[in-house]
Amino acid sequence: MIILYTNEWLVKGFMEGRESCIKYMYREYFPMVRSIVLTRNGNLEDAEDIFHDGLIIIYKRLKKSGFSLNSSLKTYLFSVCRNLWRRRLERKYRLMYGMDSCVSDSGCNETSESEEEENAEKFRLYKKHFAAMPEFCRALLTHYIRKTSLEEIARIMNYKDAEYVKARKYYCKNLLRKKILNDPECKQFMNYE
Amino acid sequence: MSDFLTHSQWIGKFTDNELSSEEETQFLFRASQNPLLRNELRLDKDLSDLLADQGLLELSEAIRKTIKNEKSNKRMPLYRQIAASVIILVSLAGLAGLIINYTTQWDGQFFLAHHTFLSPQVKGLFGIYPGERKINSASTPAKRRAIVQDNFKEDPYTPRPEYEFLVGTVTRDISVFVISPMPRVKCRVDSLIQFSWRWLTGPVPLSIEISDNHGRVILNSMQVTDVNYILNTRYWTRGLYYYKISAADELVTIGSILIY
Repeated sequence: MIILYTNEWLVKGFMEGRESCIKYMYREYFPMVRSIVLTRNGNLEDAEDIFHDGLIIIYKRLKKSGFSLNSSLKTYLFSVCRNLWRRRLERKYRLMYGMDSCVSDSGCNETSESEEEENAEKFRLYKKHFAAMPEFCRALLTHYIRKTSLEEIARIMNYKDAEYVKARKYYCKNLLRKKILNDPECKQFMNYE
Repeated sequence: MSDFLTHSQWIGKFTDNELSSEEETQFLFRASQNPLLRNELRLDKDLSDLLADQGLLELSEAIRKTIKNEKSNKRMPLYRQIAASVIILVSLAGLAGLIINYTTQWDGQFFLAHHTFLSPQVKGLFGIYPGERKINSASTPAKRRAIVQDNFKEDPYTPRPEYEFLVGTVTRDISVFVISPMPRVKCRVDSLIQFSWRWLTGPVPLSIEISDNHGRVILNSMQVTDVNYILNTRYWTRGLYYYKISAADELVTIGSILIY
């Protein structure tokens, strides 16, 4: 069955994380993102990452107060994904040829947009490693992120006390950090020393 | 604070604001001296910031799930859907054509009589096929005549008017009495028909002529002097025939033979 969404409905559903809206966006908009990436030296996995990151950026921007979407979601996603892929290619070439300066016409000024894009990439990377963590670590960190008290986490996860929860939390965070720092993709875009 | 685990504990305590002011100063000083600690501290902050948004986490999960699901049940491309539809339609049309062709060529009426949806009375198949052609549907008398003639040519059972009204006629002044066959004979193909007669005065040679419903002579037996004559219809086609028995150029009787 084909359902046609209006732009407003789509934006609303997307912000609520409605699965049908995301599915619709994937079916209708992903081919466009795929063509951007495939025609510019990318592959299908890159296209999926760009699509994911593009949606994350749009979500964050829409969540900001004072931001209004003046064009259709499709047009906006197209422009975000195109810029995202262009910047990623630039970074790739910089790393490949050991260039310190920017190759883009716009120069090397880091704009808020590029920062957002970088954050989206970081987020995807963290998310990937977070998903690959042991089950207990994921559960523990999820509770921690939700600001559940240590006593409550101990009760839910059958740990003896809050101190033990804290120790496990250090261990899990340490594990996650280690995994991220060892990822070659992390070295590509993080300006860590 | 030199190894990784110690870093992690200090970072954790720093993030959770569990360090005393003295410890915090010491920690920040060490961080300014140690790039590895600085990196970890920054990463920890990034992690806390980015993973703190529960809505974002759920959205990311939903996007990944959708991509995975849609990739696994990838829809058929549009051109394939169209091609499949065309193939199905052509097959159905072919099947309908075969059914119509079969029902119109089949001379048995039982099937049509018991399947009203194929019956000509309901204007053919599902009301689309025009059904049985009506002979008198032609607009002008000339066309109607032509249709009747065509129909007559094709049909081997149509009675021939010139002979039909004479069937059963017996000429009285001829001294021959025809015993068999009856004026109207009906028999299966490959039957034997017996002709027999008696002379009332004296033997007169008889001739038997058999013609089809178009008047074409099929058989002509001259000078039969026996009182019996056996006609074998083995190689005859089904249809309506007329027999004429004559004696010395005088017609004795005319009858019809219907072979089915």
